[in-house]
Amino acid sequence: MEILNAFQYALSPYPMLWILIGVASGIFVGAIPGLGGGMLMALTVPLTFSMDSTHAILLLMGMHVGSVSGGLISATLLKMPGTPSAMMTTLDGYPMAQKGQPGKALSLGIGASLFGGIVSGIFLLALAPPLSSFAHKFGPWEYFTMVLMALVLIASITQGSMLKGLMAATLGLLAAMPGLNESDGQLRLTYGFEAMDDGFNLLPVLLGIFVMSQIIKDALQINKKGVSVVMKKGERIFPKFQEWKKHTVNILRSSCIGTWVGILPGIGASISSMVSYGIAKTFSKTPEKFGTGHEEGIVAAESANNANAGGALIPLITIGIPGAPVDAILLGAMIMHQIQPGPLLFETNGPLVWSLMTGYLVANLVMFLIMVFSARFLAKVVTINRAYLIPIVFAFCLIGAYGPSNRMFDVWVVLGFGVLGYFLDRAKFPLGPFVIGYVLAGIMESELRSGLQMSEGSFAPMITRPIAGSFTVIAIAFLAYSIYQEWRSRTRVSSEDLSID
Amino acid sequence: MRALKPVDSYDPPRNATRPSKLLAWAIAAIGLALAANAHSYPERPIKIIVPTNAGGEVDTLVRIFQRAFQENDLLPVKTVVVNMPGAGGTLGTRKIKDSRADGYTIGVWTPGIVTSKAMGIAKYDHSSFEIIGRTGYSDLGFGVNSDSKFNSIQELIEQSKANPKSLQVATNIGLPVHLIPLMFAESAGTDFKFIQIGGGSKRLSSILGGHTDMAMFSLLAFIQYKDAGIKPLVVLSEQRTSLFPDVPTAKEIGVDLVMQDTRIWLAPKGTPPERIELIATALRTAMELPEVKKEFKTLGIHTTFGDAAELQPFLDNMLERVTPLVAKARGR
Repeated sequence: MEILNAFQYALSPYPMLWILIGVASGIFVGAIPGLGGGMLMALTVPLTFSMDSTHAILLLMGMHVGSVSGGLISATLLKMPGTPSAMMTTLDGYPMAQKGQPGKALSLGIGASLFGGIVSGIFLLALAPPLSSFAHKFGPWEYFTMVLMALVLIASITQGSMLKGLMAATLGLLAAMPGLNESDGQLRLTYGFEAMDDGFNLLPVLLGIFVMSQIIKDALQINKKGVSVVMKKGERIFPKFQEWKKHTVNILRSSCIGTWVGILPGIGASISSMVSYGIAKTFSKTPEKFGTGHEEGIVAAESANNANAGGALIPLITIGIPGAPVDAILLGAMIMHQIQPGPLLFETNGPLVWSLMTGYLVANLVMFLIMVFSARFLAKVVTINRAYLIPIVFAFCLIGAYGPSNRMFDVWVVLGFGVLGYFLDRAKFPLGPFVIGYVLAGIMESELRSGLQMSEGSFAPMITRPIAGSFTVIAIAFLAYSIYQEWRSRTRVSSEDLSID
Repeated sequence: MRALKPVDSYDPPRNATRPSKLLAWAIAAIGLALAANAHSYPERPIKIIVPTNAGGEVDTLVRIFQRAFQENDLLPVKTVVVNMPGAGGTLGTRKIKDSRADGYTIGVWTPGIVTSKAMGIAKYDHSSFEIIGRTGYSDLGFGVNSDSKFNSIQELIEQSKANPKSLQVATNIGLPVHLIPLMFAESAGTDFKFIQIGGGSKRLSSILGGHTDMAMFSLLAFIQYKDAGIKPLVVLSEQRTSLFPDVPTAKEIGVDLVMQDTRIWLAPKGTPPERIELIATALRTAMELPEVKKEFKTLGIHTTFGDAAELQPFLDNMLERVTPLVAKARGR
């Protein structure tokens, strides 16, 4: 009954209005590379002081949901992820849009986002307390082996030359090395530059590698390349229900992965889409199509990153642990409104908890409606001359890099990594593995070292701990499977070559 | 019609001088205004540098003050919170230190200002700043999982003495959450095994999951997460707390360690004392407001303002005790 009351509340005019404002503004900032939900929410928190606390939280949550989803727009249409979590969407969304189906690419992403949001919302409503206590079972070894498994899966994402993919990943790994080393509290590879004390941060590196490099590339081609995308006539924006049916397994799997990664503190939405993309590719009947504008790739990436947002709400609401930086802002806002999340919240402030959870579901629905109705219009962005878009994106990119830390250094990082990304791309080094190496290196290193601190230098817990052991086994199995697949496709190709001869 | 008159042909130069004259007047006026107001501080927004992300614990506290200042006109100007996270807070504190000492840039940090120096990741400590004061403090304690085999701190120390480095402490290496337990172990004559776990939520999760044995938390955390499954074994305050009357203080068990977690307001060295006093007064007044008191209570912070004179010996003492221990911290 409480659920029904809460739904009734979330759908009543006032809360609905705040959710609507939140989602719409979230989509807007999410779609702009550089600006993100975190920034929008941090700026909005002081404005909510005089608001009703539930309204305030619903507004902020709407912004969160909107911004996670908005990122797919620029990722699909411009190959520039609007938010870090939309990174994997560029791999298939952009090629599909370039093939003349921007509307379909968008609607696949939008639909997958909705499903991801709903699946995680159901977990949130039904299983929040047991899931969050199960998350504590994850210690350093579990984190490490899980990321190791992700790494093995992601190795299969690499397109083209395996060697170049590995080299790009190693370069990314190197980019993660400078700065304060968590594991011993010492500075590393800063060469005496105090600005380097924190190393290269995630947002500026991503903006540089994905967005700035694309800006440079587009800017250099501006007079050579006209409007190359020819929109397919009579394109159906939203796929029929039957067409979604074939993605059911993929959506459920990716949403569960996204939710789970969201529950674990300190991992991040970009990792959830990396993992689900890697798994979707491994299990796909047509893995070779990934990266060329394949539907499954978009669906996997987008359902995972939206599910991640719902997953991260689980520990936030049940224990008061923020799963991601954005949730820390939400937690801060709750405290300012004198709401202390935690096990007691259900007892002391039950209606609020229920309206939060139902509000999350409603926010996802609102997100879907706004985006689906604007997709036809948004899809036209691909036909706009880039000369008009580049200066705007360029400016936001630099502002976005400067914002979170208020440091000029981050702006230089964007520009520097932009140039690096441009040359890597020209030399046909894939950028995905670079960023994956960069993102995973930090977390793998610190978790492994924590684990080794606990085990006095022994690697045995990788096998002896049950959860960690299963991850290790899965990782090895995936590795063997992908080598087998690679070998099989090679022998098939070579036999085809022979037959042509 | 006017354009035909010969006289008007002289107009352009006259017109040209007009704006520049205006400009000169404007500059003069601004100059005068500046001179007249040279002693009226503050006249433009005051920047508050916060060395954490938006939403962090320190950030939340600062925004409570920002709101109180604004709603009660405690300062004649607005305050702007500037988040500069990174490198254990040293990016932010260095910015505070290097800002102009005019009272328009101040900042807030924790006793981490001392531990960063001790760890060697910053070349400066609290003595490189003017200390505005401390906005309350929260009590600290060491806690274990509710199902832990340790039921008292004595048991824990005894076992740890019998088997050195067997007790795993979840920390964030190089920060107070690492160095305070290190000081405790030193005084208790034992040795803990410190495990790098990370930020507060990860440490909590690590204790709840039984991956590590013990960690330092604020008393507020012990209240909030009681039902989630942690319990305090020892508090580091001067006296027992009414919240956990059965939990002994470190002093009672013969460990000479009294520590609090504080939020220290800093200004660049050389900031005029009257400007510091003005900000300190605003902080003091804000802390007396009922709504701030209420919010501090939910955050588990004692609402007593501490001035520089009180804070200086606390930080000096901490630096003195921590520095020799760091060689150890670096070893393991």
